[in-house]
Amino acid sequence: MSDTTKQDALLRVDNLVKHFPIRGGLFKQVKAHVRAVDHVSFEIERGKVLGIVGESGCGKTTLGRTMLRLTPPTDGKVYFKDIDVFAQNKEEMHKLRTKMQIIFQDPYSSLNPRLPVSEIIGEALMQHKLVENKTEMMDRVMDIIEKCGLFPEQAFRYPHQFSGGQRQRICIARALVLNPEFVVCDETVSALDVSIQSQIINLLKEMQEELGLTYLFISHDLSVIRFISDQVGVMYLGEIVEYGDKKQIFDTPRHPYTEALLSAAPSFDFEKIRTHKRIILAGDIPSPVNPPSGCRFHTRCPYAQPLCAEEVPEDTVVEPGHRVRCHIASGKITVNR
Amino acid sequence: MSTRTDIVNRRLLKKDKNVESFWANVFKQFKRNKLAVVSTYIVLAIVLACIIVPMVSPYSLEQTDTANRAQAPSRSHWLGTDNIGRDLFTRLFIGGRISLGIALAVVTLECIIGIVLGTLAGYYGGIVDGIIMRISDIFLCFPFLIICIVIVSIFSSGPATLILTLSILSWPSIARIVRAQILSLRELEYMEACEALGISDFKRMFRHLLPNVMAYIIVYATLGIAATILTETSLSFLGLGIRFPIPTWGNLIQPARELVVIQKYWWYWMPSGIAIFLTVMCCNIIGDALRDAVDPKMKR
Amino acid sequence: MRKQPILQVKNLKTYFHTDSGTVKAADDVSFDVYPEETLGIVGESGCGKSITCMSIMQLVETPPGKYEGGEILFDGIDIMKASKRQIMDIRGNQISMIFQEPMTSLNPVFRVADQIAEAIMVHQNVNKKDAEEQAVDMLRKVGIPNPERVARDFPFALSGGMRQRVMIAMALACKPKILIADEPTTALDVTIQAQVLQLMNDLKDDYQTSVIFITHDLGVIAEMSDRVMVMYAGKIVELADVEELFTTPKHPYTIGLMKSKPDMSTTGDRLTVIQGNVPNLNRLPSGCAFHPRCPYVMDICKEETPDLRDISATRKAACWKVFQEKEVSYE
Repeated sequence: MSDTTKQDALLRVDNLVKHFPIRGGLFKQVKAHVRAVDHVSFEIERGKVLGIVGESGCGKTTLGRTMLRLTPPTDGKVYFKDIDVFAQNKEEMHKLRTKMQIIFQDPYSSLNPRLPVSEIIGEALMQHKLVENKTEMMDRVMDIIEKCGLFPEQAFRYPHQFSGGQRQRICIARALVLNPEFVVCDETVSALDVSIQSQIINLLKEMQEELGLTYLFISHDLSVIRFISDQVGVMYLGEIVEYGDKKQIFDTPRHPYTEALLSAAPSFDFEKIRTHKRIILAGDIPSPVNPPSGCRFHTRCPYAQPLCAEEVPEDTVVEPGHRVRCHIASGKITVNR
Repeated sequence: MSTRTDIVNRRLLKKDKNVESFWANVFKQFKRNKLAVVSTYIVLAIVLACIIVPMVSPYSLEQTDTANRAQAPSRSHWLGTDNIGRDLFTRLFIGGRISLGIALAVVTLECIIGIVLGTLAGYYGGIVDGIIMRISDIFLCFPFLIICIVIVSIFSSGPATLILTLSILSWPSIARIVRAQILSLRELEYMEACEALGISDFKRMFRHLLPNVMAYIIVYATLGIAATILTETSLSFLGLGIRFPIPTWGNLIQPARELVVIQKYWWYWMPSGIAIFLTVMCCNIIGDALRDAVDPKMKR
Repeated sequence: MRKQPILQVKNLKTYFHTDSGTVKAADDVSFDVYPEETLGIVGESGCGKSITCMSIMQLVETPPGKYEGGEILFDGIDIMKASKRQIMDIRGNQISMIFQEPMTSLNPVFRVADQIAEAIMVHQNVNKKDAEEQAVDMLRKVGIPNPERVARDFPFALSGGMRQRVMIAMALACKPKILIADEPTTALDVTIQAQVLQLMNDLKDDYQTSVIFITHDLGVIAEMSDRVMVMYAGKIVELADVEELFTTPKHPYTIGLMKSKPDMSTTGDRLTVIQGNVPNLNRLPSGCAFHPRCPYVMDICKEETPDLRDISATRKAACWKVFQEKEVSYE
C-alpha cells in the first residue's frame, strides 16, 4: 500500500482487527470468534470523505466504532495525526474524544429522551470545560443548532418533539459542537425518508466544507456513497476487498463483488433498466464466525476457480490508489468475462 | 443576540409553552385516565385524614370509655367502640398512619438498596454483577413467612423490625428491574454517544441512565406500596406483625377471626377492611396508569 | 385497451381517531388493479401506502382505525361490506400479502412445512400429507436449495432472504389472484434483494398474479412495476405508467422525490431537496397537503384540495399547476 501513503493523512488505520469472542458451555469458555474486522488498513486525507460500503455483517459498523475506541480492538493500530489512538491512557483519550466524533443511524435511540436539546448538545462542552459557564454554553449551542438548520427557540424542547430528520440534525449538532476534525457517520441517513435524506446529506456536505471536516461515511446505499465520498472501500466479511477513488470503484470496478453490488443496486434510470444485464449472486452471505477458506467471496463468486478456495488473495494495486483483493486482479487466475 | 436572551429568559421563567418535558408528558397522559385521577384523590384524602383525624379527635389512642364498650357507631363514637371501649374512628386513622408509614418506609428503603445495587450490577457488569446477583438469588430463596416468624420470635415485633425485615426481603426484585433496564439502556446509541463525547462515568450513570430507569422505579414503588400494605396487614392479622396495643389496619381486623365478630360487630373490622381495600386498589390503579403514561407502548 | 380491472378501490377512507385528533391515513383513495400487472405504490413513511393495502385485506385494527367510507370491489364482492366468512375466504386465498419483516409473520414455534401446509389446508380440500408435499414443492419453486430439509426447519434457523422466500411460498401456495407485497425487500441486503426481486418477477409470470408492490425505494419500484402510484399524506398525488412517470414526472412532489434521491448518475455538489418536513397527519396543512413544501405553490393550492384527475389516457395527477398546464395545452 506504499502508493497510497500520503504526507497529509489525518487518519491512518493499520491492520486493524476486531474479533468478538463467542462464549458458551459450562464455564463460559471462548468457543469461537466473530471476525467482524479482519486486517483492515487505509488512510484518510484531511478534508476528504472515505465511504465504506458493504452488506449487513460485513463489519463496517464495527470498523467505525473500533477506530474511535468505543470497543477495544483485538489488534492493529489507528493513528490520528500521528497519535497512536489505542496507546492513549484514560485522560489523554478523554481529550482526544473531542477531536473524533460519531453520528449514529437511529435518530430515536441516539438522543436521551429525558434531556432537553440544549443539554444534549451542551453537556460535552461543560464536561470538557470548553465553556466557562452556562450562558456561554447556551451561546455555543444556539450557534450550532442554527448552523444545523434548527431554530434557537427549539433549544429547550425535548427529543420527542422533533421529527426523525430534525433529530438527526440534533445528533449532527451534538457531534460538531466540540469542533472535531474527524467524524464517523454510521448509516447516518439510512433511517430517513428520501426527501429528508437529501437535506441531511447536503447539511453534512456544507458542514464539511465550512469546518474542514474529514468523514468516514458508512452506508449500505451505493448511490449515497457515490455522491458523498472521495475514496471508497468495499467491505465483505470483515475485509476490504476493493479500495480506490470514487471513479475507480464506480466506473471500473475490478472485484467481482463490487461489480455484483453495483449491478444489484436498483436504479430508476430507464436507459439503464433497458440495457442493463444484472449480475445476481447466488446464495447467502456466509457467517463471519466461519468465513470461507481462501478468498472469502469464493462461495458466491461467479468466476470462482479451485485456487480461490485454497489460497487467500493478496492486495493487488491495479492502478495508483486502487487496490483489489482478488486472484483475477493479481493475475493468478484468468477468466473470460 | 437579544432574541436569544429572550428565548433563554422565557424558558427560565417557564413561559415557553412549546417545551414539553418527559414528566410533563407523563402527567398529561396520566390525567387522561379518569379512574386514576379519582384514585389519586382518594389516596390523598386517606393520607390527609390519617394525619389530621388523630390530631383533632377528642379521644386518644388508649383512652377507654368503659361505659360504652362494644358500642355500634353513634354520634359520639362515629365508628363505635371496641370491646374495652376505645374509639374505633380514632384508632382507624392512627392505624392508617402506622400502616401507610410502614409501607412508605419499606418501599423507600427497598428502593434505595435496590437502585444502588441494581445500578452497580448493571453498569459495571462482570464480577460486580455476578456477586450482587448471587446475593439477590439467595434472598429470593428465603421462605418469606418462616423468616418473618423467626425474626419476630428472636426480636421484638415493633415497627422497626417489621420495616427492616420486609425491605431486606424485597430489595432483590427492584434491583433486578433496575439492572435489567440499565443493561438494555446501556446498549442504546445515546449511551455510546456519551462515551464518544467523553462524558464521565458518574454523569452517565446519574444523568443518563438513572433518570430513564426512574419512571419504572416509580411505577414499581406505587405498586409496591399496595403490596406492602397487604403484606403488613396479613402479618399483623396473623399476629406476626405489629401487635396490640399499637393499632394497624391489619390488627384492627384481627377480631374478625371470630365468627361472632363477623356476624354481630361489623364496625370492628369493616372500616379498616374498607380502608385497606380502597388504598390497595387505588394504589394499583395509579400504578397501572403510571405505567401506561410512562411507556405508552405497554398500553393494550 | 386495458382489460377489466380485477380489483377496484373507490374513494377509500381509512381514518384513525386518536387522542390528538383524526389521522386521515388513507383519504379518498381510488385506483384499479388489472390482471397480471404490477402496481407500485411509492411514498414516504406515513403517506398511507401500507394502510391502503391493509384496508384491502381488512387488516386495519378497529379501533383505533375506522373505515369511513368507500368501496373495494373484488370479484363482484364489495370487501368493505363483505361478511367475516367471505373475507376469510378471500384473505390468503385470492389475495395474499407479504410483509417487510418475515420473522414477525412466521410463527417461531412451527416448522416451515407445517405453516405452509396449514395455509393450504385452510383453503383447499386436501389432507395433511398432500398439503405437506405441496409445501415442499412450493419451497422448491421459490428457489430454496434442499427444500426437503428446509421444510423441517424452524423459521429462526433461516436467513432473512430465505425467510422472505418462505413467505412468498406461503403467499403463493393458494395461487392468489392478487399478491400484496409491503416493503418485501427493505430489510434485505442489496444482493439478496436482487435475488428476491428476480424471483418475484419470475413467479408473477408463472402464476399470472397481479402484484401490488409497496416500497419507499424508487429504484425498486421502477424495476418492478408496470404502473406506479405516488402517495403523499394519505392521498394519491400521481398515477401513471412506470416509464412515463419516471421520465416525465408531473406532480411537484414526484419531481422533488426523484431529484432528491442520488442515483448512479447524480453529479454536482449538492442534492436538490424538498424543503421542510413530512407533515404530521393529524395537523395537515389546508388545501393541497404538499403546498408548504412545493416550489410552485399558488394561491389556490393553499385553499382548495386538488382531486385526482385524468391528465392523459395513462396518467392521473392531483395538482392545480398540472391542471392549469393541461388546460393551456388543450387550447
